Parts: sequence; structure tokens; C-alpha cells
Amino acid sequence: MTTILCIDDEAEIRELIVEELAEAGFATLEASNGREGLELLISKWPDIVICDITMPEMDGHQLLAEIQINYPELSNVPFIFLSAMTDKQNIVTGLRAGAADYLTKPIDFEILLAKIEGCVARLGNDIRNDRAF
Amino acid sequence: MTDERIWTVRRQDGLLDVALDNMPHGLCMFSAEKKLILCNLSYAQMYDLPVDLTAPGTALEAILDHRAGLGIGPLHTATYFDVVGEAAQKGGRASQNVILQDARVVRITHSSMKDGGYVATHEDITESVRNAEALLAHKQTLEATVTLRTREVEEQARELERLLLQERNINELQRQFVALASHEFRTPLAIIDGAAQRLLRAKGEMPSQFVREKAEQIRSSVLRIVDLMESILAASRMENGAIQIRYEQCPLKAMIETCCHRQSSISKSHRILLNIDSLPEYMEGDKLALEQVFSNLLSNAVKYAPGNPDIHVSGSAEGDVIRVVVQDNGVGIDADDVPKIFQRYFRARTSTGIPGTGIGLHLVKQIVELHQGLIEIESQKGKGTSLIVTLPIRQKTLLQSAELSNVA
Repeated sequence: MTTILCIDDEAEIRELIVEELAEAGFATLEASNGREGLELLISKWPDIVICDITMPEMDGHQLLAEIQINYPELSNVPFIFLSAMTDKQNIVTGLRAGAADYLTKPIDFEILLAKIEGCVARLGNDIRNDRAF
Repeated sequence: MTDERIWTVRRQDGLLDVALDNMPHGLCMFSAEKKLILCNLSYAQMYDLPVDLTAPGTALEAILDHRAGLGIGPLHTATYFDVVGEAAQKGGRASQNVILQDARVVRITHSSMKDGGYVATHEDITESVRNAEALLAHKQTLEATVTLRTREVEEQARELERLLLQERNINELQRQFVALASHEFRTPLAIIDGAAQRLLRAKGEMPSQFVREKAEQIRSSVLRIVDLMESILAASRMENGAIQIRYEQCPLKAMIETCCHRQSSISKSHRILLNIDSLPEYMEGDKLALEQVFSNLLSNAVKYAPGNPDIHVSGSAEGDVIRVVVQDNGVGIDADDVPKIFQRYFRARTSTGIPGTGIGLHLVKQIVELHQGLIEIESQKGKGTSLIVTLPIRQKTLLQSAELSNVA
């Protein structure tokens, strides 16, 4: 089963997303800031990460940078930003740092699910390709 | 050349007398014994010499005594004789400007003669000296003015630069504010939208508990938006001086308790420890505005202390004032950010990752000051923050209007 890690400091937003993902048949993990998220990434190795930006302790940008620099083995895990920061600077910074996508809040759940399914499809191809060699 | 010979020449040739008397400068010739040999009309006029003092054989001393008596002798006799001495030593010519007692300036040029006597010309250069002095003074004034103006212009340039920088900082803060405010609105909107989508997309019969939960989420998010809107509007009204503070009897204790309960119900992860027994039940103030102060301080305490659950709220009364302290053990503020913390839109470096718009504390300060109160902050990075509000129990304006109505 595909596991999705949802990182957001707003408990209500996190719960709504997790509910939606669970109903769509995904396994979910939850973290309320970048640091907790990193711990779960290391210990549970989820398939996809959905991550907020503005969070205490370690924000989304910091988490992505931390992964790229210190945990290269985790950098292949598709990382989708989901933030209420809609300014160009945040979007450009996030995508340039290696995020698979940058979605803004409020989010249409159908679009969120479509993005995730797209990631899952690509992951499947990668796995098939890995097996072929 | 003997005295007799010169006088012979003079007598024989009236032309020489005419030439000498028409010289613009004074001319005199003295013998080695300092006796006058001859002088011209200009010399006599210059020093107001009576005829007998222009006669050949008159002692230099007699002329000088006469001049001293009229107040037109050389101001410094020593200088005067220096010229003579110098000329004699050199055996040639020496010039010096001599100031007279009446402030005239005379340029005296001495030419020594072989027999020890001398010829001297006296030129009144008062006017040109005065002109030069005036010119110099004018130049100095001009220079001083230029220096002053330059300094003024430099100061203005510096002030302009400072204002420009300030303006730029305000613009930057405003830009940040717009981004942050947008974020602050979008977050509850995302909850509302998410809850609504969950309701719409639910398949089959929805349990009433599920519907109730979503409806509650929607309502609490709407409240959050309304609060946010109110504080932004209040801040901008405050900025425009358009806010109306209406003083009334506020149930201070009950007000603080309500704010604490409301905050506790929103943030279950924190504990608010209340110690306000010594506060009076009532104080004069604008109830809505003061509620905004306390709820703002409480939500800040919770917001900036993730993982540090204890928030202390204590109150005391000292004479005519009350003091309320809201203390957290949170992220704290860098020492150099502390003085800026009440500036509109300013956010401390330690607030990175914690949502906010930078208007809360600015608004709080304005409200407190409108109540003739004081807000202070004590903070240590990594240790936590205390905000101390001091407010008068009675408002002066209220007392004044009460007194006025008594008079009427």
C-alpha cells in the first residue's frame, strides 16, 4: 500500500487531508513540523510527502534542504509542497530545491489526489524499470 | 650734500617745490641728527603740522610730540622706529605699514642717505587697507556661510537617506505583511474548504457526528477569519486615528478569565495557569479593545511556545494601577529584536515558521497607550517571553467628563 506522510502544523488541515487520503485507499503518517516529519521519513520511509511550509521548529523549505544535503537516499521520495504561501518567491524556492510540485491552500482534494496518483504512477514505472535491469 | 646746498637748489628752482607739493604722498627728509631738512605739503597736511613745524631744522621729536598731542602719532612708537633702524642698517630702503592713533594706516618707506640722514615717503593707505580688510571679512563670512550651508545640505541629505531607508523598510514590511496576511486568511479558508469538500464528497449516508464535526470546523475557522479581519481593520483604524475608544466599567477579572478559557479551548496542548485573585473586579476601559489586548497576548504566548505547555497569567493591583503579566517559556526574542517588537508588521527572527502578520503586538500597544497604560516586554531567546501590561484603574478623561457634568 502506498504510504503518504502529511506534514502540517495545523491539526485540522492535517486531519482533513489524512481523512481524504485514507478514504482514497492510502496509508497515512502525520507530523506537525519539519523535525517530526524528518524522523518519520527516516524511520518509516513513506512513498510520498505532502508538506506545509510555515511551521515552527523546522519549516518546509528547511526540511527539503535537510533531505537533499544530509539524506540523499530520501531525496527520491516525491515531495509536494502544500502551503498557504502563494507568493512567487516561495513557489520558485520550493520547486528549485527539488519539490515535485507546489500546491496552494485552499486545495481542491480532487486535484491533490490527482497529483498523488500521478506520482504513484511514476513511482510504479521506476519500480518496473528497476526490475527490468 | 649740506643743508645750505639743498636749500639753495630749492630756492633757485621753484619748480621743485611745485613738484614736491603736488605729490599725493607725504615726503620728508631728515638729517642724521633727526632734524627736518624738508617736507612737502602732503606731509604737513597728513599730520596737521603748523608752518613752524615744517621749517628746516625742526626736530623729529618735536613733530612726533605735536602729532601725539593731536592723537595722530604712530600707535606703536617702537614699530615706527624699527622701520628707521632697519633702513639704516641695510643702508637702503625699508617699508612698513604703521598704524596711527586715529586708526589711519600709513605706509612709510625710508631710504637711508650716505650721511646718515634719510628720505621718507608717507602714503595714507587706510582706504585700501580697509577695503582689503572688508574683502577679507567678506570672504571669511562667505566661507563660513558656504561651510554652514554645506553642512546643512549634508545633514538634509543624511536625513533624506534615513527617511528613504525607513520608507524602504516600511515598504518591505508592508510587502511581507501582505504575504503573511494572505497566508493567515488562506489557512482557515483551507479548513473551511476542506471540511466542505469532505461533506460533498462523502459517499453514502453520513454519520451525524461526522457532519457535526465538519460544521464545527467550518464555524471555528470562520471565527478565526473574523478575528483576523477585526484585528487588521482595528490596526488600520488605529493607524488612521479613526478608532473610537469608549470607556465603560469593564469586568476585568471575568474578561481575563473568558479570554483564558477561549484560548484553552482552542489550544489543548497548552495549560494556562491563572493567578489573578488580587485584581479588582472592575476597571474603566473599552471592553472590546481590552479583550483584544488580553486575547492577543494569550494567543501569542501559545503560538510562540510550541512544546512548552505552561503559560502563566498573573495580575496585581498597586494603588491606582493594575498589572497583568503573561509569561511563556517559548522561543523568546533576540535581544536586538526586542526594541522593534511593537513596530507595525515587525516579526522577530525567532518567529520563523510560526504564522503571524506582525500587527498583533502593535495593536496591543496602541490600545494600551490609548488607555494611558504601559506595555513592557522581557524576553530571552530560547527561554521565553513576558509581556507586562500596566493600566490605570480609572481613566482621566472619564473623571474629567464626570467633573464637567458635576459642574454643569
